[in-house]
Amino acid sequence: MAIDNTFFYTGAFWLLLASLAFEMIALITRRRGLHWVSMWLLLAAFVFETPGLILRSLEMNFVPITNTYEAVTFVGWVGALVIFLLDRKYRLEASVGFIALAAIVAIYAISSSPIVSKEVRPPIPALQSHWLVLHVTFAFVGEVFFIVSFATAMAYLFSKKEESRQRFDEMTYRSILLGFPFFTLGALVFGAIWAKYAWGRFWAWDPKETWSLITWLVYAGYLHSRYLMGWRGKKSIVFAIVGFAVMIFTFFGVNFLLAGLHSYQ
Amino acid sequence: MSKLLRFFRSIKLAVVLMILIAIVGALGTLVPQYQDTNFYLERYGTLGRVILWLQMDHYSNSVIFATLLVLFFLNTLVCTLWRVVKVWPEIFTLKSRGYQHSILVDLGLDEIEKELREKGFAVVREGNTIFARRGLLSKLSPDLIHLGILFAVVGGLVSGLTLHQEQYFMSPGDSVALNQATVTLLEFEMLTYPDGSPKDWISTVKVEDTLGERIYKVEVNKPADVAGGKLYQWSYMPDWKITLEFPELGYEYSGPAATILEYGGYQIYVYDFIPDFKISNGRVISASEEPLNPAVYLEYYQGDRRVARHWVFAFHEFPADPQDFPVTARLVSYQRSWKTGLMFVESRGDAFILIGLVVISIGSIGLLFPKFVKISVRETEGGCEAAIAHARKPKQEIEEILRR
Repeated sequence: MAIDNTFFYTGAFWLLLASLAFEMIALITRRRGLHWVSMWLLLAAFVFETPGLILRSLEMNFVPITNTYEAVTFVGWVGALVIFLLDRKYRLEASVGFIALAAIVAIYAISSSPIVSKEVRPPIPALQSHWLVLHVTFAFVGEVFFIVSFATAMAYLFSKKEESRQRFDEMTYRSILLGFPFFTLGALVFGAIWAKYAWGRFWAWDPKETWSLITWLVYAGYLHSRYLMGWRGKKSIVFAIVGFAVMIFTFFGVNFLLAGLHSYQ
Repeated sequence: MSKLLRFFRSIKLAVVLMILIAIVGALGTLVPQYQDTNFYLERYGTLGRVILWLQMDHYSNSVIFATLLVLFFLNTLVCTLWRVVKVWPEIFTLKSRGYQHSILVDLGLDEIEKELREKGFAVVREGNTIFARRGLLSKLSPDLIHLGILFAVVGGLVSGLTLHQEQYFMSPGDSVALNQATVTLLEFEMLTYPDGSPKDWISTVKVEDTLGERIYKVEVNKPADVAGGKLYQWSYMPDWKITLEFPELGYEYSGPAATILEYGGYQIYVYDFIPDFKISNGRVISASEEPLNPAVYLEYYQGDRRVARHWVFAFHEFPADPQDFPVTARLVSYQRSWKTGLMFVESRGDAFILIGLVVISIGSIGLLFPKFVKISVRETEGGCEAAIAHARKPKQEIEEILRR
């Protein structure tokens, strides 16, 4: 039986699910060892998906980031690595790991939807650009950090200890501070340069462009309010959650609900 | 004046403007843009009037949005200039300014100097005092992003004011004049993948100007520098040539559709060729670009009076209106070629925008660098005293820096 790229994507999804399950049990039982298992399963998901990405790239002769199936699985791949590395550096709590993983799994699960085609299709002419690759990969890395910031923000809201709350608040800030440069480069800078090459203008107020700018403004507002206005705690956390909601709408809502260059209509 | 400057320097203003721009932009994307006035009135009723009054039918060019962007630009400009004048000297000057909260450190000056150098600090030693700094790019990053935004906005404005954009559909052999050059299409290729989906569209053009004659290939994502601007592969369209036979008139026409013929005392209006005729929601459409149900619509006039109309199908008969009209028509053949869609864009602000984007990129990358720290250590009789600048928790941060 020939193994195609979807075998690896499907396998990675099951590993992500297993990682989520272990994290949930770690959260309930408060056993740190299970969180450790969850994180290594997460790394396994990243490693397992990699040959799928390579196979698909070879089949379509391009980086597989050109349709919904490829976008959500790519976010899963990046997300698995980023969350694993953040855990190594900051020793994430099980609550944070669980919420971040739940978000990543939910996004990845869209690849199983019957309305999402798994078919390998070579990119249309406008998508054949190195700038597109930079645009999408950097934006996705930024968005994964924003997912982590959402997880830490939610953990803040569920936490009762002041010490934990301070840590979650700080982690939310750090995640956004890390995600913001990637998102700026990917969504705005590289996107604008690609648009110039493809359509002859840097910016055209296409709905996706506008919503990317809105996402950027919300996170920029968060950083300004925190850095210069001294916002901490609940106000800052609500800001981060609003940012995440806007980001999710930019990622999915715009493509399906609003007409434009990034539309799937 | 100082009040005005304080207003535009306000970080609260920045946050409020960001929120307002986000709200107006978001609302704008929910409203279909650049439609006819009646479209908004019929679709939204009273709300349509509000949409039109607020110019949300073209929000990106609306007075409200433009005002917000201008205020945001001024806010960014004043904040950036203020930081350059007031904050940068403190950042760049190692020796005197900004130090706070000195504490005694249980280390010798030589040890501290070595420690700081190992941790990536730039260190200056003067007598019994050390000045050290790290993470300068990180500190300057927000300012660089602001500067980049200012460049990009100015570039966008200049670009918008000087933009010259034209679109052409051309067949091989067609020429257009662009500034001092003549551009002639030599060939248009449509490359496809094995499954038939589009792989690339390539127009080969000849450019003749005062420098001579040159050949360019213009592809999607690969514009050509032509006549002081850029030539883009922008679109394509089918170009149908049809043959119509009018047996009763003893007349045959071969050529493009959408034309007016004069023969046998009639003016015959030939409308667009429909390769795949279909009626959808009461309107005639072409279901595809393939000639699956080819048709063409004709109207016969004598003077100003329309005397007949006729849908002529290639694969089946359809009566004229009126049915006893003495002239019939047959769609004998149809042949498709493709026209390339080329777009010429010329604007003056692009260099500014590019500089802005590069500066924003440098600023963004800088945010990932270690946090800015400025520290001074002075050797006294009682030991070494360390002080730090711009720290929220000075004691803790000094200890962290000097911890082995």
